[in-house]
Amino acid sequence: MTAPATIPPPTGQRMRQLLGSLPTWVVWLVVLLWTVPTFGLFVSSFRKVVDINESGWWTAWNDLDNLTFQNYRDIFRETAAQPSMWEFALNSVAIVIPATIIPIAVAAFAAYGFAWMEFRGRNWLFIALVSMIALPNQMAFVPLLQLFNNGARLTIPGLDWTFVLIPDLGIGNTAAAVWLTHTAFGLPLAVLLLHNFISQLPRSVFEAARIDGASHFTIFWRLVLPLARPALAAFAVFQFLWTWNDYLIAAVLLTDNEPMTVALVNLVGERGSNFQLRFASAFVIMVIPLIVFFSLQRHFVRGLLAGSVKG
Amino acid sequence: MDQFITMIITVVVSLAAAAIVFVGADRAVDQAVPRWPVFTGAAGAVAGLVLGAAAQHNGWVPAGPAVGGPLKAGWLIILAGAAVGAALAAGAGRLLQPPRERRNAWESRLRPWVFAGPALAFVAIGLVIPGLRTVFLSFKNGPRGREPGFTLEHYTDIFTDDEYFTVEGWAQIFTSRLFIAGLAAAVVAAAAAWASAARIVGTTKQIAAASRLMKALGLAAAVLVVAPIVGFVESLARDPNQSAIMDVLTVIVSSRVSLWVVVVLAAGSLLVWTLSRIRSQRLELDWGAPSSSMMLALAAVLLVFGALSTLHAVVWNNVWWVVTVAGLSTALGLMLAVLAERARGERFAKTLIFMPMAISMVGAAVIWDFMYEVQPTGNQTGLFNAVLQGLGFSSRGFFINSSMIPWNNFWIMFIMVWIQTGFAMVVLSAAIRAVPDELLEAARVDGASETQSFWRVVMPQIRPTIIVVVTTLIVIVTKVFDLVKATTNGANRTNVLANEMFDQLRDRNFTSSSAFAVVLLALVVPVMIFNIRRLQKDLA
Repeated sequence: MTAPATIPPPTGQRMRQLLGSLPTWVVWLVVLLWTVPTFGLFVSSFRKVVDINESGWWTAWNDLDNLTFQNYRDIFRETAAQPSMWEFALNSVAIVIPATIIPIAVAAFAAYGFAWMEFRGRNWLFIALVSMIALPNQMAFVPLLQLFNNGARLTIPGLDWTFVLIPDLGIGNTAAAVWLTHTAFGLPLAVLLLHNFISQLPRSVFEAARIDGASHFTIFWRLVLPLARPALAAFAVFQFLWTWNDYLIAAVLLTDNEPMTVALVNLVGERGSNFQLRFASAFVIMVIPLIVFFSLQRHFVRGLLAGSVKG
Repeated sequence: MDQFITMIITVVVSLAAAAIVFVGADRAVDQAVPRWPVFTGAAGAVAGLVLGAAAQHNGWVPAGPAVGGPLKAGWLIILAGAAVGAALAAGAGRLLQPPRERRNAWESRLRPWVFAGPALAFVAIGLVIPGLRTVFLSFKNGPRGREPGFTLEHYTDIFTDDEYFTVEGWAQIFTSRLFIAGLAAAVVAAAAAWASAARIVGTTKQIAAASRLMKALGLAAAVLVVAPIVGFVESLARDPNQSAIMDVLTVIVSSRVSLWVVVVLAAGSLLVWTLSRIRSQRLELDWGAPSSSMMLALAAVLLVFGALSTLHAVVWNNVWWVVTVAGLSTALGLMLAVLAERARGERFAKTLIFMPMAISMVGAAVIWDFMYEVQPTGNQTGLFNAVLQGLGFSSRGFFINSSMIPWNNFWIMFIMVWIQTGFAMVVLSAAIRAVPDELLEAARVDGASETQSFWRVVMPQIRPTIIVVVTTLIVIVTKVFDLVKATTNGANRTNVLANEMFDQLRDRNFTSSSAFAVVLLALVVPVMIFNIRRLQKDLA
């Protein structure tokens, strides 16, 4: 069937084409504004301090020979004033790995319990746990600092009788203090994310397993964990980025063995001196999260949606 | 390197310990039905362990001679406690064995706690109890809270210090040009809402009046868009010490033509609106129409900016942060989500806009500090100042100079917008995708244009998601800290509550630090209550 060709007037068509491409222009303009700053930092990290102070980074193309790895060499070299960046990187890793693995393990059990076990006060407890997502971390810092440094004591008011609830475990100012704190702060979101996923698994799977005589532990270990792998990955990416990029908790709890973010803020704090090193340092800190982000973006988005769209 | 090895050992040991405790508890509960004494014995061992540890650390039992080696006397007391507890409880369990149904009940009642217990304990010890203690500390005497007695001093310190909280100069809000423009915009929004309603369900006369009104409002919108652009370029040359955003906003009202147009239109539309309401039946105002809701948003932004840029104190600044970042990121994210669907290279563009989410706030501060860089003489090395210089305008120190107050705050807030827009965009674009096709198809069949079906079908559908995005952003932005710390550290009236809380903590003023934390909490309590309501509805 050949429809009678109704050719629209060429000017109208051109107009419509122009309007149709407008979203592309606007979006890519925003993309440009959103990526240029990071790119500028990247370019500047290869420039000498004289160049940085005298010309814009966009002029670096004029003399590519002036680019140098010196800034990177400097930050990875140990000096009397400043330890090498490697040391800060290892400190970061020492915090991030336990702070990512342990909350997942703890939260997965809890999420299964809340999703597939009946018990009194279940909804109430779940709501209380999850509502802690919005609690500002600042609310816990002073007591946690005291707990890690001195343990916890309870004084019964009238009797003037003090007794030790938690002894001084000697973890003040260590990576353990930081990742334990990250674990507690990350758990509410972890439980919410995993609960949303695990509670959506088909009921029939669990019923069949129960009839076969499987215990809750077997169901959890053999069925739920393998099925929930996407949700576990989503939260892992989330928690990794959050703990790697954290500055506040480390700055509050540590006075030495600091992670990279604290080192960078200290570097920025001494305005003027070592100005050129901040770009290389900032880029070194960003590299790993950016790799994780670009390679595992799918999981990250899934976690984001599970945590906010549903829930 | 030592740190690294210690970490690996810690992870392995703590995971193994957790696994042993968990499996042990699970197996112990397993025994409740077949072998009750084993179950009670295990429970007794745990109770004995805790009591033994308490006895040891509180010196209830005189510590005997040290055994030497790793087995110190303290450990002996703890182990003895466990052994005695286990023996006593197992014996009691043997004597008093409940009937089978009761044992079954015990088993199913305890099992959930084996699963949920660790998480609950972590959150209780790491968040809830410390939170309560922070509230307690904020009322205690002395900087460390060690002195006896309670006081409201730490709160009165905050709310009587002009640096932290003041309403001084509040009257200037009503004379600020931004605020007046906001009021005018609100009236225009109301008129647009009326016009839209009249067009849909009004009488013939109302429809005629409405289309006249709509034409006038269209003119107003054109003026509102063109005037600031002209004025912006003009003002860049005129007044180098004003920030660009200030220029945009003031020019809307300061250039005489646009001010008169807006005021006359506002008054005129108010008149038309009231007259028509008197002459005929009342119309339900149509706030969901594109024109009225966009005008309303503009009005809200102008009113809030007018009020919060006039009041200067840390608490107000924090509120300004929340409103600006939550509002701008959501609006921009929604716009990008809609546009990206029609753009080429959608996925790649979205990924790049989303990328700042992976960058730490500290890194973002370094990046933007460099973009805003200003050189007193010679070539500008900061991108923005270089662009200004290239266009022949003078440079400005976006958040370095005190001459920028209060708009220096805005440029730091923008860094947060840069980070959070991607989040809003990704979540909202997923929500837009989730709108059922049948609804859009039905709208199309009814002859709705693309704009209409977005405002009338998509917007109501994604409203819950917008609310979630906004509340999430409120929670994140209220406790903003890293950005301010790494850019200005609170200088030139850019301070926020979390930064002040941190500084007090560093100075070991634990009680006043706690008071700042409680003020932060107070700001997010409405969101917490809202979230709890939503969860209750979801679980019901």
